[in-house]
Amino acid sequence: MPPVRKSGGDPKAKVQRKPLNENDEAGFVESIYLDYAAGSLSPSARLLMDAHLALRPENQSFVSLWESLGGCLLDGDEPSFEARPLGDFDFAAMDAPVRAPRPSPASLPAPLAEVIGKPISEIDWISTLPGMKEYSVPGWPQARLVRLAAGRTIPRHSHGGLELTLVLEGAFSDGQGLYERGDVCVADETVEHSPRVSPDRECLCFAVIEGPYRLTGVWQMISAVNDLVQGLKPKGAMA
Amino acid sequence: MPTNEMLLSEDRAHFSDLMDRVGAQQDRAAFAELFSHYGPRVKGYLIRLGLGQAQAEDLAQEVMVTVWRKAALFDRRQASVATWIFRIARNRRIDLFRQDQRAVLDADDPALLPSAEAAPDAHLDAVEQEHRMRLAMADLPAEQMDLIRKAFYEGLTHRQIADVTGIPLGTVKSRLRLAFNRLRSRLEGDE
Repeated sequence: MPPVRKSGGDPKAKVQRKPLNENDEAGFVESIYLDYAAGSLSPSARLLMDAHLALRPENQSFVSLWESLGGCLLDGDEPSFEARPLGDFDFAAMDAPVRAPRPSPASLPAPLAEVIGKPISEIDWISTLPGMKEYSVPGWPQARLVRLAAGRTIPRHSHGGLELTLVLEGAFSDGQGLYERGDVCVADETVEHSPRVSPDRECLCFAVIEGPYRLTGVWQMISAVNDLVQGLKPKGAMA
Repeated sequence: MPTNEMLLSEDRAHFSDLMDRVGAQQDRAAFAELFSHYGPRVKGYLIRLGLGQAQAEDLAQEVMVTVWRKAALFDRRQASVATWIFRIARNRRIDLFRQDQRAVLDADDPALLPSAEAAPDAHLDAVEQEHRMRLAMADLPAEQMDLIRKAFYEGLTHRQIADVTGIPLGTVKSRLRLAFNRLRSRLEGDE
């Protein structure tokens, strides 16, 4: 199963085993792993990648390659201050017990479950478009869970920035490929796509959309009305 | 007469031995050596990322506390000590900026746990991978390595790098792509 794939555009842009090859000339997909390793993704995009790696631990190797660059840079770095004498180091206080992992609600990968803090069945969904419900994750800007009805086609849209979509349940396709549990669909301002949920079951995704999301075509009007309605509701508290 | 590369390999095995001693027996002397080597380097990394002296010092101390407490989770087959500590420092810094008390690094942090990767032969051995990374870095032209350092290690955006170096933004992007590609192809290639 491919790791993270770029969505839309030239079919050749589909990335198979390697996140970067001659078909990913812009280094678009690879840059997600690179930025993750460097620690420069936004917190919400980072959370999404944590969840992706929890579902696809084998893809950790794409990250660890770049983390080894970090290790080499750290090792080669000249010390910039005199190390504090170890007298300051209180070994006795260091023996605090290790916390046991918290149980995860079913079907959410552990990093997401911890942040969301309740099972999917207890989430208060907001209907945005027909066949589409969303939950904005409090304290995580631009991060939302999205439920899409079986067979639903998501309105054709483009993006003002990076859009990452991690599939948690079900599947969708966007003419580029099929995205199943653990897959990440990557799009940016160069991509306009219209993903379609597989007809047999609902699709649950975790999406991080940085920058404005622009519907194109007839959905623009519906969205404008929807924004108006949403604007009248109180916004969720942000941390 | 041993080459620098040989000395480095010996150092790295030595640091892994020290970690094993800390993990298995809470060996304080072993930790002291790790602390004096990596403490200043972690602090330097955090300062490059924009932290003030005092904050970098505190956070570097926290990172080294984590190293002491979680040493038993270190697996020398999966990462070098430097890479393992880099991950802890990077994550600590992210936690700091999130300022979310729930998100502090703990034993559940996947970065600290041995990964659930497939058979060892499915991936390049971590030691071999880092050896290749080191060689690939040494082969890069100095100006490309400088760009990589700024982008990856000092947390600068492409725009900031263009401003600092006076190199046009498009050129920064293409040179970085070229440089990262070179590193990656050296690591993934069978050369």
